[in-house]
Amino acid sequence: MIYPTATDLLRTIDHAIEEKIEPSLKDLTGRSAMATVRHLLRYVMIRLEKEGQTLTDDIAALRKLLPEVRTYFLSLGDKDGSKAQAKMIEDALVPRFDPTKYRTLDSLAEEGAVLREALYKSLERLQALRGTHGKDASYQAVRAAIRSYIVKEIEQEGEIIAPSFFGRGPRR
Amino acid sequence: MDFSPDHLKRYLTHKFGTPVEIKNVERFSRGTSRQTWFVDIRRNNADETLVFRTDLAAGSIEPSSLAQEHFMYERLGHTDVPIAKVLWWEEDPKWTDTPFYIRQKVEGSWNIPHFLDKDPKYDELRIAISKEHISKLAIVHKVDWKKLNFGERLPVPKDEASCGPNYVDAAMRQLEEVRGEGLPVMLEIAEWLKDTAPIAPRICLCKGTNGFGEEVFRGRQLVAMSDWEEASIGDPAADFAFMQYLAPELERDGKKIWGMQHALDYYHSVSGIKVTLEAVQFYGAIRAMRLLVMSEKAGQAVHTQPKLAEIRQAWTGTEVGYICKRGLIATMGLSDPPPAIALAELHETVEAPL
Repeated sequence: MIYPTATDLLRTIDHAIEEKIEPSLKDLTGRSAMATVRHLLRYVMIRLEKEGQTLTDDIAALRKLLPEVRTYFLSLGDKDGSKAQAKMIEDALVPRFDPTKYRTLDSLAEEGAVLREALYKSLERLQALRGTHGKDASYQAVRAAIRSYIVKEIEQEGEIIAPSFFGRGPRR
Repeated sequence: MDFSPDHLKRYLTHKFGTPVEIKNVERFSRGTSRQTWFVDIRRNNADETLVFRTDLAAGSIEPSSLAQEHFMYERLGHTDVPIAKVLWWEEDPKWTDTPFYIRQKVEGSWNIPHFLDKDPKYDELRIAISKEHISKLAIVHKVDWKKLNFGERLPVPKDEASCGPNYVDAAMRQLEEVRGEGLPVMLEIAEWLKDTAPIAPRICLCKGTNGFGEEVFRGRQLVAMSDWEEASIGDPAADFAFMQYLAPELERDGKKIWGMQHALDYYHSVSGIKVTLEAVQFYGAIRAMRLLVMSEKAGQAVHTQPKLAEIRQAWTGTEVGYICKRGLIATMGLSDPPPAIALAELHETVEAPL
């Protein structure tokens, strides 16, 4: 069970829709739904191809960033819940997967989601500290690092979204 | 709700207390936030069309409730704003498993023939339609929202300086209710917007999403303003940021003949309210925040109820969310905006291709 690959099959399915099914659809609702289906089918094909590496890169970036954020919270001592926030990051960073097992996309997504949530909660906490610590160089550095991560992560998502949708006709 | 002709016949006969014949039942193909059904009936020897609105099976894409939308139509019925008359709300489990409401259908179309045709001969049409729409928006903005108690359902800013932050807070509250993952970009933009919020020229009832595809036109006249689910109380600039296509940028022979600044000047002439381009740009980011909340809600519907979710929720939960995130980081000057073609394509349909 190597060939045809899942991607090969999706391409053939898409071709069948384009050649055999789409031209036979007279109803506007059906044509509109089919337009969306074809965009999403293309999106799934490109996700299959790229998402594993994208998520792996994202997880690596978060595993580098979160310890920096944790260090900042620890530098604040036990004030304003900072210690608890540092502990929350530590918990999120604990590996939850078996390294001997193949990583499915869903398991990578789950790990990324846990780490992203820790970042989200940390940023919320940092924003609450802005009034008292906003002018500190260490505060500004950790905020800049988070901002840089956010931009990179969104730009990476664009590597999958753009070829799937842009310039490829009505979505609905 | 069961939209089979037999069930509708029983229900409407019961409701009107007179025999009702069902002539046709059709789900409206446009719109992604909720279901809209047109039901053609005959009763007392007269034909009419009823419009049913209900949530999608996996929940509406829109964070505000169907009950709020019904409330808007009911309240607007006491104003000069052109709308379809709302008839009644239904949630009796004897007739439906999900609430719905019914309104009259106003004859006309969301489509404006030739409006998107790039031929300069239609510029005059585009400008006339733009002015007509802006005049109707001015009527909305003049509604006495305090007297009509719109604040019962819509968050009310405490003063003109609070309008921007009020929108930000509302979007963040909605995000917390629906988000499936951490979206740190929303925290960043919320902070940035609160730092840069303009002071509103006055506190108005605002329509929310408006413009091409959202209203009913008959010829050049806007006869019904539709899609009130994103209505708010706040800065009228928001409605210019939430406007689709109806302030087109037109340049001929090197001369700008229409655009957002022209639209704002015209609005000032009919309303007396001065809205700045800067404020419109600010509310463009608010709009992206709200769309990102919708995208997140739609994505969660697909994730948690894949057998009930609609295909458009899958699209809203993917590409639409990305476009918004990209727009938000561009607003903060952190990256490039999404390409213009991608933004234009979001509103493109098989029925009205670009």
